[in-house]
Amino acid sequence: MNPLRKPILPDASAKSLPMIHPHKLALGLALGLTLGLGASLGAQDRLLLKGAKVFTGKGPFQEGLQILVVDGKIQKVGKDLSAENSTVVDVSGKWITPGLVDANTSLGLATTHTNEQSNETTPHIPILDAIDPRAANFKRALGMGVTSAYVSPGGMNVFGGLGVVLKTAGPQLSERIILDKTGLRMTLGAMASSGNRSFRGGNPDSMFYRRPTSRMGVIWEIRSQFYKADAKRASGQGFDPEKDPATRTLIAALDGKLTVRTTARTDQDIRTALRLAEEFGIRIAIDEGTEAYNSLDQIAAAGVPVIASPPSVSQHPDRAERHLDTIKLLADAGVVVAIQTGQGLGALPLIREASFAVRYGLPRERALEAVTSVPAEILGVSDRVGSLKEGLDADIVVWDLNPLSVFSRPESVYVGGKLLHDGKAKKTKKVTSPRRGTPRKTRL
Amino acid sequence: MIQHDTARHAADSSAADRSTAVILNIGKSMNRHHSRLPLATTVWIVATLTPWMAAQSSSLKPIVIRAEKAWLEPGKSLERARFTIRGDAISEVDQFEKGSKAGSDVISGAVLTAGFIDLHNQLGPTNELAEKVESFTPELRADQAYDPFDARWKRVLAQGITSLIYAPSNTSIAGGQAILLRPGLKPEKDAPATYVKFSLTREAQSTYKRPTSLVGAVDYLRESYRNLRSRTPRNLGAAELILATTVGGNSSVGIACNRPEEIQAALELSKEQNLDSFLILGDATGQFDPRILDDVLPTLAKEGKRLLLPALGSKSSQRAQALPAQLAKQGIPFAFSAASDRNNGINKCQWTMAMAMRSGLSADKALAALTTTPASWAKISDKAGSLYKDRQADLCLWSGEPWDLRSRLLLVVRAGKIVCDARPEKDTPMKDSPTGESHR
Repeated sequence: MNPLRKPILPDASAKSLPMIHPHKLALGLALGLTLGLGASLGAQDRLLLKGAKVFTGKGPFQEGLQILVVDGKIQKVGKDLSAENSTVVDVSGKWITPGLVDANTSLGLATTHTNEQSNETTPHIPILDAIDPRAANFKRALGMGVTSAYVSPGGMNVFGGLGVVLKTAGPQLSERIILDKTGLRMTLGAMASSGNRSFRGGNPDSMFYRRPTSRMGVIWEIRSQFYKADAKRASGQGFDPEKDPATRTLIAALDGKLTVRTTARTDQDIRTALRLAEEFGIRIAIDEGTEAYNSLDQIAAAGVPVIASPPSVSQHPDRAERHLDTIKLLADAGVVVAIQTGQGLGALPLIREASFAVRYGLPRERALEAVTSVPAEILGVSDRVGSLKEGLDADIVVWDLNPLSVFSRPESVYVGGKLLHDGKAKKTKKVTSPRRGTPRKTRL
Repeated sequence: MIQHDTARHAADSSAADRSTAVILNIGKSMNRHHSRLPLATTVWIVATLTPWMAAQSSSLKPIVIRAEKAWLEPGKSLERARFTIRGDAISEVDQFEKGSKAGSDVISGAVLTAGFIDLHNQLGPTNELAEKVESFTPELRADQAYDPFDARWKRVLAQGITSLIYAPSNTSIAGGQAILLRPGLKPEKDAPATYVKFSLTREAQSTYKRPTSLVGAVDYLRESYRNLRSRTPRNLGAAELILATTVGGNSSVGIACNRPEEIQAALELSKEQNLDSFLILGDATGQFDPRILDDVLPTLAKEGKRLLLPALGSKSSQRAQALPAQLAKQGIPFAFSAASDRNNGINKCQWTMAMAMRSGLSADKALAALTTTPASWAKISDKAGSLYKDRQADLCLWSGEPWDLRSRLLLVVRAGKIVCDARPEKDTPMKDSPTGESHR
């Protein structure tokens, strides 16, 4: 026989199988299938984490809580759960939090401020098209316990576009999206108008030479666009939502269906943001709010949430003056406050920003809430992430120490019940000489 | 091996094979007569000359090429193949007798393949292949920028490329229409576009005109399709008419993309607008990181999307070399493009096949990625990409298998004319073959 044509299965004539009674075979098969399938399903899809102190998204750390994960979702959080058919992970002495939620980032983007700058108002452009799912900063964020993040369009336009909430890890980008086309980016202050000039005697016909060029002009642009959209909504004539997605997006904001993520850093911008919200009846969330300590009562009275800029960053655009206790003051005033790492490409460790806030007076529980459940609520994804509750995605971080300690680091990060970051895995260190890349010679 | 003899049957007789003759060009010496002739005289001239011209054309000198093996198409070979070429087409394919003396005119081990097809060629001045003031110009045709007298076409031919699709550059989001050309030959008048070229690469993002970003580029294309739908067919401009042909897959779209987010955006756009598209990977210099495909390979396999890969070079990573085999395994259609003329003395097509095969790609798939696959994408399978009767006479004669780096490209025939001849000693019998010495 040609060796290439050799059958894959053994030749039946070569060796006869031992005789088995058919009814015994059927019984054995049924038993084997029941036990084997059950065991394999249980081993793969059921996970029980026990022994750690658990922060569920609200309140203090609780001891003795166990978390049962089935098919990537949290099935139960409680004491003395049954470990039947489950893979039990004993994390005694560790600390568990929900996967952190970063409410404003530039993760996956090629530039810090990604905007289409040929037009001042691009409210309908989704940032999702510009996200590189394999960007290194996603991995860095995951390695510091961030499992969900809001990726925002840039702030170089008055209306920058629509953001997206997505997981920092997972199989494919489409499966990582939690909520697309959410949060309309609106930027107040000097940044939005900073590019609208003809530099160094450049051509005044350039597309960049346009209104607005001042803080007042930015507000004029916002009002102008909202009034136009409102007029189109009211008349209903000459407006086709399919052909005019920009107006459609602004109308969704006017109808309160879309949160307007308003970047306001200085005091006058924060007050303007509150005025605009009242004037047009839009639902806003203040991004950064660096000088929010000056308008605590007004923000609290308006019921506007603040996604505060990272306290560790000392320099802010618009020459906004940072106070280290701003987050604490906002929380004391009753403002819903979350912490963001902001639009840098380096992916700051979010948990360290929470530690900073604790250092300057924010209660520990409030600090952890500000990076888990509160941002999830602001982003409208609290039914998926941000807490350890039944039915939510099993995004879980196991820390080796109290996460607010500066020495803590995530030992295991589960996203959708899957261990996607293992901090315990030993990393082999490359031995290199001071000269880059050349291996050190061993001296004998 | 090569005969320019009048009598084709003499091909097998070794002595006659060595003689050379010039292919006649009847029309060349004919002058135009501007004076008006009486009708009767004209009829007499036509009646007299027609049989003479018919006799001349029937006795046009054929070219006969013989090779020990010919790949009629990938996976299908013919031993002792003899190809008779008349005009610009293959007029006959048969086998020569086994007993004929190989050393006389057949280089031992010589293998014949179809001429290669490059689906994305931008040779020439880059600034001529894109409009700089406007980024959305699908109405432009790349063949308007084509210079058949550019000396670099010789280098392209010397790699075995006998057909190419001349494409607009990556610096416009919709640069224009890519047109089928023969390197060094004048373009056919009003040749139909092979595909419309889109680009989502960074090169298409400008600092002084729309779009300035990837999101802006995608938005620009989406807006163009929206505008197209809102207009009646009578009101369509030149650009919109071309864009309309891409809707529903009536004409192909080649989308250049070189980063993961650009690939995601290209796939999304194709899905939204129902485009018959393929992805053109690699930047202008052919640089390409295959890791960008890791996340989208399952999607590509599921949706049957096609990939045009840049040529592999000596600097290509292991992953880049392994990618073609990986694509073949997953059933994702792909083709190779030579991408640039910077060959540094290396035959890029041969090198690409060799490196892809080194990482597990089969020879048939490697050859198909340069011949039959691009031919079918360009809808010219009935003319090029394979060696059958009545196909265009585009042939490459190699001293061994084309994917073997020790082989050399000895002869290139484009449209029935020998355009590249690198035989050790032209039109003379090989001295070394009968004695067993290698000519390589």
